[in-house]
Amino acid sequence: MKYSFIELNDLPNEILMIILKKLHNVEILYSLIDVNKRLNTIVHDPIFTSYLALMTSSSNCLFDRLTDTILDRFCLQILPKIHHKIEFFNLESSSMERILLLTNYPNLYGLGLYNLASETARDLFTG
Amino acid sequence: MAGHKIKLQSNDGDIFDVEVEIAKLSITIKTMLEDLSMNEEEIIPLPNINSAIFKKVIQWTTHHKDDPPLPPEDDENREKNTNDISSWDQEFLKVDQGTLFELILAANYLDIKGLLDVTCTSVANMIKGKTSEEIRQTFNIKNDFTPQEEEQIKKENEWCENK
Repeated sequence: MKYSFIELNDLPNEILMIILKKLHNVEILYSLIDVNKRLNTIVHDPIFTSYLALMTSSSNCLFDRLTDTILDRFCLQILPKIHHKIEFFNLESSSMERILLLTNYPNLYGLGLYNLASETARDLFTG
Repeated sequence: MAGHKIKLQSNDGDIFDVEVEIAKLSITIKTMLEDLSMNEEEIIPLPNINSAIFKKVIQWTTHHKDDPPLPPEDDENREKNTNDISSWDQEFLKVDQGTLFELILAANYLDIKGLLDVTCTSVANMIKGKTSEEIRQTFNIKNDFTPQEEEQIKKENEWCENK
């Protein structure tokens, strides 16, 4: 077969969106933010920035924190750029404080908290 | 209709005799034959696909001709399982990146949902877990930020790296 010169960046936005919709928003932002201007524009679309699950989950409903490398990249580079676009967070207990205290989330209207001990929940919600 | 063949012509002039049953896995070709009343004796041109890619498309559709149709994709609850590429498809997709992207464009033009799905899943798997610099290297993407924009990104990265 002859070598083809088509590259990822040659694909139309319509196709890139089909590819990206196969990934979780966290995976998209971690890998594609700041790659180039075009991808940066695409991944800033609210489809990819309004809902973020900053934790891992397995098929048997076990939730865990992201690796430190990924969490650091989100806290130091990604969340400061998209904080105003986030509408819903899913977080787990060991990293939620760091994420929520990082910056303001003016459009956040929903929060899912996982692995939360009952005492922590009581402290959080009863002051 | 099973066993009947139609002639399809790639953009580099090659003519392929393809079983109607297999050709109709392409919604584009199915529409041409049914809605536009194209005669099965006519040669149907495929101006966007070269013969090498079309051979791969025929190979894929022949193998998958008895697959059940894919369920419609629900954006809100879409399944993110990118690990479910069959071993046959994994072997089929062992091609260079350019061929993979041409297959995606062909699947999109021909409207073959299963082929589009598996090729896009394969690219998604190539993206998953890579840093932005690894993405640039893997997909030969030029960093087109201005020096000022690049400096700003570097500053943010240093903050992270020095933490």
